[in-house]
Amino acid sequence: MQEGRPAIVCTSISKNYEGHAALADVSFTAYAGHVTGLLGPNGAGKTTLIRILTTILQPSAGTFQVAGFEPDQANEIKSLIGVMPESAGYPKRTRAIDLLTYHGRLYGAGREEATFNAVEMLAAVGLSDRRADRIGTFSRGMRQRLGLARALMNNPRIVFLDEPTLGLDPAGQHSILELIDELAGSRDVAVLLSSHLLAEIQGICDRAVILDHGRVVFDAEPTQGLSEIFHKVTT
Amino acid sequence: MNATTIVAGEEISGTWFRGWGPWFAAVVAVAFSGIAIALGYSGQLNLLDAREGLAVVVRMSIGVGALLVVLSMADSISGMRDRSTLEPLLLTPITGRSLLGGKLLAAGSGWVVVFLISLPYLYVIGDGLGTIALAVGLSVVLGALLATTFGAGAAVLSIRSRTNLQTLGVGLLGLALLAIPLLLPASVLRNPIGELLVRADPMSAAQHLIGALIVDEATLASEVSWFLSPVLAALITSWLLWKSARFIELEPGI
Repeated sequence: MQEGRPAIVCTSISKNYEGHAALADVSFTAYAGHVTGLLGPNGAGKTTLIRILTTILQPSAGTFQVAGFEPDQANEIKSLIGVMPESAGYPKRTRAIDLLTYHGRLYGAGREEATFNAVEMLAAVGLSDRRADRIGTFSRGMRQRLGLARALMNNPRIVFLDEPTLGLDPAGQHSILELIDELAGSRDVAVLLSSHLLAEIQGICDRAVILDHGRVVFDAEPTQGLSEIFHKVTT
Repeated sequence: MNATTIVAGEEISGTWFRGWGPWFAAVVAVAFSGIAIALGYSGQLNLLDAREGLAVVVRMSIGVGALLVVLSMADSISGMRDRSTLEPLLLTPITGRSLLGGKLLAAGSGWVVVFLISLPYLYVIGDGLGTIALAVGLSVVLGALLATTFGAGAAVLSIRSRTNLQTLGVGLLGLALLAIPLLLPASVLRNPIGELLVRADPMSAAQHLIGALIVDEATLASEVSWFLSPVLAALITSWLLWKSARFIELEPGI
């Protein structure tokens, strides 16, 4: 597969929590316009790695570049990335459109521009008809869609999605994955998709990285023996 | 519009249009009305004289405002951690100082609302005493200083705490400890160590000032040194918040 420009370059990252190694010497590269899967069982270190790459957690060792910026350029990185954290909470009394408008404004957009973008993003994730509803009335699947819309509010060059289909039924999973696939293709963004489901990664990823106990045990295209390695890791 | 005002606007909207703010304001208004009614019957019941009543309203305005700010700011970071709403905000390019500055401004709106509710009561109770301007001035100055002190202090706790319950527990314990000098017998407060205790405690110093200036009719010049601890406390806690706000973490200590 033709590789685009490097969007995420991760070099020998380690993270220790009170003597326990959550990540050990993790290196990989993700490219613009591609969906890179970060696969691994629960506790493999996927969320920790995403938090380090999105600058809200410090690595114990190693370094990285995101969109060409170093870890000490956190604000530059944050303005160019969109993140859908695992199990993010939402203010229940806030209306969907108000939440997105608020987030848009935190990225420097004026109120009118942010509201316009919020309307567009809600339409893109299929929530137009619920935009004036309070988030507390949303189902889990709708909240996941809202989270995806929030991650796109600043028109990011790189999108980090941490278990975006967690807790969704098969139809909900399919719908979210379609949106992600469309995102990488039509907007030329790099997507780093974390999941513990092999089928999800095989379905839409151009490249896959398997983490096991904080170590990279696979880094190649999914066709190159991904399922064998993943089954070894999970059994 | 900068990030601080955007955060403040969102927080104010959350409290006063979507949250518990109006209910709280209604309860405060009822409490002030209770005092006004008690004073209205003071001739028959001998509950409070007018000056003492005026001092009670000022103390209540400042105390309730400070409590409201503490509750709001204690929730500012650790509450968001508990509700998993902190991470999406940390992922935006706003600084911790802008985030907490906005939240402190919004929390201050609680004190402002309590102060505004107290104004008609101050006017009615203080009518004819010639001390309305003094009572309003003390409410504004001491209220702002204590709201800043307790709001900034609660925010620093909130940054460091692992759970919101921990922040609230330590914050309310701190408030209770600051009330201790007020409960000491008058004989203790008259000796030098007792007076030093009251002077060093911003809340007790503020209560002393209200009593001395409104009830005892002391001059401002003779009591000005009592402003020292409220001013110092506001400056120190604000500086601590300014320093701590750079280190807001998803999980404290990790």
